[in-house]
Parts: sequence; C-alpha cells; structure tokens
Amino acid sequence: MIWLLSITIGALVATAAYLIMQRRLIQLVLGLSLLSHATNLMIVASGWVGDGRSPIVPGPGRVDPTGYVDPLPQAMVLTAIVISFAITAFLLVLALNIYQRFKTDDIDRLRRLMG
Amino acid sequence: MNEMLSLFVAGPLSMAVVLFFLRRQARLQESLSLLALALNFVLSLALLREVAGGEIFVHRMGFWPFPYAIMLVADRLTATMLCLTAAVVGACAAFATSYLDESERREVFHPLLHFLLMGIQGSFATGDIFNLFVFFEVMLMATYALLGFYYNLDQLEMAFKYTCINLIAAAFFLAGVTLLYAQVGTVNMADLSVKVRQLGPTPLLVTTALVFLFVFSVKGALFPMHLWLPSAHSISPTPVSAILAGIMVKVGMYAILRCATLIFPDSFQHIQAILMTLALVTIGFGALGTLPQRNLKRVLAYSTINQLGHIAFGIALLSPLGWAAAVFYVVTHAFLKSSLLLGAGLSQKLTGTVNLDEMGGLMTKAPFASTFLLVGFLSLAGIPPLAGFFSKLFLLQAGFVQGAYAATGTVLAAGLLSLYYNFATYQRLAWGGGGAEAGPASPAMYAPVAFLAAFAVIFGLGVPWLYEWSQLVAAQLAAPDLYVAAMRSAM
Repeated sequence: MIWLLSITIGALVATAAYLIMQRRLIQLVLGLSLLSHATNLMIVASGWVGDGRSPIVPGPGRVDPTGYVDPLPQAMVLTAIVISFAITAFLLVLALNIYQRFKTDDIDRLRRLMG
Repeated sequence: MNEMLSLFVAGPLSMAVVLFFLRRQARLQESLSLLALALNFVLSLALLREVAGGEIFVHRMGFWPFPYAIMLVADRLTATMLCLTAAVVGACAAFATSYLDESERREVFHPLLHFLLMGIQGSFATGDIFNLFVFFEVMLMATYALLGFYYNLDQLEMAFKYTCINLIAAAFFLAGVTLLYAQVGTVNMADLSVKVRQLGPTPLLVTTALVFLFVFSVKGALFPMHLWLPSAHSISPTPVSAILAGIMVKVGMYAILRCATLIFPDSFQHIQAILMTLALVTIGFGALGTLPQRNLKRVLAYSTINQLGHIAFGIALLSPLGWAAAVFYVVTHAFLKSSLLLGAGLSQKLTGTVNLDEMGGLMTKAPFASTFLLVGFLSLAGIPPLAGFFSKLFLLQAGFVQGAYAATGTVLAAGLLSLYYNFATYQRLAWGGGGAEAGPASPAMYAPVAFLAAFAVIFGLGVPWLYEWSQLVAAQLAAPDLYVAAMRSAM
C-alpha cells in the first residue's frame, strides 16, 4: 500500500510543478493546491506502519501498539488541510479580483511592481 | 509565570475578536487596542526580568504529559524577541491611529494587527515544530490582509505574489516536518533535540535541515528567496511595513537560530558553508540593490535585506560569540529599521511622496522628521556612538576571532558600501530642492517614531549592558540541554 501512496505523492508533485509554471492564474492556484495535497499525503505516509491497520483499540486491557498506524500525523494533517483550504480560498478570491480589475489572467502581464 | 505564557497567545487572540465586534466605535476600538498593546509590553518586560536569572519557563497547553503536549517555552531568546515584538507592534499601532485616514478601512486594521501579534508571539514562544508551522500560517494570514490593505492594483498584485510564495514555502515546511517525524517520531523541539543528536548527522537529516533552512530563508529574505521583500515593503501601508521589517523577517532568523542551536546542531555543521554563502551574497546584493532606487521605502527594504544578511552571517559562524553578535544585531535592527520606516511614513504624510528626488530639501521643510531619519541613517551606516556601529563591530569581532577572515573581510567591504548608500540617500532627501511641499502632521505621529528612535540612541549608550545580555542569551543557546531539561521537568 505504501508504494501506492508514494506514487500518488510523486504524481501530485509533478503535476503541481507543471501547473505552477503555467501562465494562467487559475492553473497556478490549482498547482499550489495540488502541492499542498501532496504534502498532506506525505504527512499521512509518515505515520504508515506495516499494512496500515487502523489505530482503534478493541477493548479494555493493554494492546501491543506495533503494527498499528501512528495516529498523531493524522491529527496533524487535519490542521494542515484546514490551513491549506483557507489559503486556497483566499488565493482564489485574489485571483478573481485580479482577473476582474486587470482584465487579464496572464501572470506575465502582472508586472506593475517590476524593478 | 508558567501559566502567564499562554497570555502571549490568548491575549491577542481574544482582543482581536473583541476589537472586530467594536468596529463601529472607532475611538473605543483604538483606545482598547492601544491599551492591550501597552499591557502586552508590560507583560513582556516582566517576563524578561524573570528569565534574566537563566530560568526557562514552560507551559504545557492542556496539561498533557511531556512529549505530547504542545508547549510554550520562554528562555532568554524568546523573552527578548517577545519584548521587541511588543514594543515595535505597539509603536506601529500608535502610529497607525493618526497615519490611516477615516476613509481607509481603518476599522479592520486593529483586529488584523492583533491576529498578526498572536502569530508572531506564538512563533517565538512555541516549543513544538508543527505548532511553529501553525503560528507561521496565522501570522501570514493576517499579513496577507494587512499588506493588501488599500486593495489597489499594486497591492492586489503584491498580495497574490506574496501569498503564492509563502504557500510554496509552507508546503516545504510541512514536508520538512514530515521528514523529521518519519525519522524520529516526534515534533516536540526538546524531544527532537535529544533524538536528532542520538541519530547523528545522517544524510537524510542533513537534507531535512536544508529544507528547513530554505523555508526560513523565505521568511527571512535571504538572497535567492528575497524577491518578495522590496515590493512588500514599499507597497504596504507604512505601519505594516515597519512591523514587517522590524519583526516579521526576524521570525525567519529566529527559526534558523533555533534550528542551528537546538534541533540540528550537528547537521548545521555540514551546511554551514551554504548558510555562510547565502549570508554573504545577501549582504552584497542588499547593499547593491539600494543604489538604483528612487523610492525611500525601497531603499530601506534593500537595506533590510543587507542587514538580514549580517544576522545570518552571525548565525552561520556557529559559535556563541557569533550568536551573541546576531542577537545584538536583531535587537538594534528591530528598533532602528522600524523607526526609520515610521520616519519615512511621517515624511510621506508631510510631503505626500516617498520619491527621494521630490522629497529633496526635507531638512528645511520638516526638520523633526528629517532629524529622526538622520539618526537612523547614521546608525545604519555604522557611525560610532550609535547602536548600528556596535552591532557591526561585534559581528566582525566574532568573525575574526573565529578565523573566518575571507568571509569577515567581505562583510567589512560591504560595510563601506552601506556607508555610501546611507549617506547618498540622506543627502538626496534632506538637501537639494524637491517639488513637494510639506504639510502639517499631527503630534501623535511623532511620539511613536521618537519612542523607537530613542532605543537606537539608548542601545548606543548602553552597549555594554545589551552586549552582556546578548552573551547571556547565546550562552543559553549553546547549552540546549538546559532547554531540554526544563521541558522534561515542566509541571
């Protein structure tokens, strides 16, 4: 299973890198969003153990924790998802405003601040 | 004092919410905001007094046991940074009350400022690297809104670019945390310190240290990652750019210092050359970048890049002497650059421009503003009785003592260049004749500038005291075991 996760992360990063280098605003925003998804998956992968058993303890008594997935990264990834969601939303608002006020969605034309 | 630490985060957060609901009563909102900032300053001074003896305060949030709780930690470095933050943000808020006009959406300024304060103070106080990421994001979220405060075309473009750059940096930050967690299974800084040292500088750990160095160099504007800074400084409203230059870029430097001393001391030995190169190129590039500028705030922005290079140079020496010099530099530069930017804002308010050529003749048009700027520029140039001279002196001393002659010689040569650009800039704005006429400014605007500029003089006169303090800070940084022990035994 971990190899599937790795391939997904690699594919996401590659797609994100391609999109970030494009000229349209929306492609840039989508690329950045994919990049944060890739890192979120990385966090999940960092807690992966063995065949990925869920860390749910069946009943009372002590349980051997080896073989269970580490639950801490899954708590961390929630925070990261919320943050990247908020920033992506903000970025989309900015992109929409830029499109309406600059009358273009070509990043190369946004050069008022050059120099 | 342990539980009081949470006030540095909870205080600004609750104030931000309260101030947001008070946005219809502008006067009340402003006074309450300034009162809260004054209290925050007093609290930080009290903390500074408490940590002076070498005690490290730790608060376990939610009272979870040691490696699992998110901890707030205050050692000497944290207390120093909190003090700087409280003073600079307070002065900038006071300045903003008369700088922003009624029409300028000022009702959202103070709530955003308190969110920013929460993010900055949280970043300085946290003892958990994932929590550091969260506070970075809180800080940046508030900055995105504050930088694009007027929402004109320039600011819209800048806010978009700044957000994109920081989003990429945030992705790398998370990737770094993940790499670290996958290797040692913890995010608590004290626990990390112990476990990373046990592991030794493996290639993967050195790579992780490099990822963190990259991320924090984006915040701290070291050379190839500095491109956002000049635009962000010159386009944003002046009180915000003063906070940005005075404190926020120092958050990046603070994080690099923590990585180099606490988390990755061994790995940083391997990437010392990289950090040193970044620092030297930043110093040279920042100094050269000032030369073609016509906008006063852009000159100050490039000079900030130059100064950040100096701080990084002190950190890159990887010795207590270098760290002491870096801390000294951070303290003096925070007051110096924020007072200079507020002085620039004052002149902008008086003459209606930040263009150096139009401003010309400020000496006769606005003697007070011009004098503030003169003190600031003299100090930046490194003229002896002022604080800027000593900060450069200690840095060079640390470099030469360590035998890094080539690198230190480069810094010295760049110092001559900074002497030139500071005088050239002041000459252009103070003498000659520019078209702009000086108008009136409210006396309330002079007080914050004078408050911050006074520190530049006080630190110049009180150098032995401040340098002794910097050495105490560095001594604590050089002994990460004290930090670990304090976190382990936290009640």
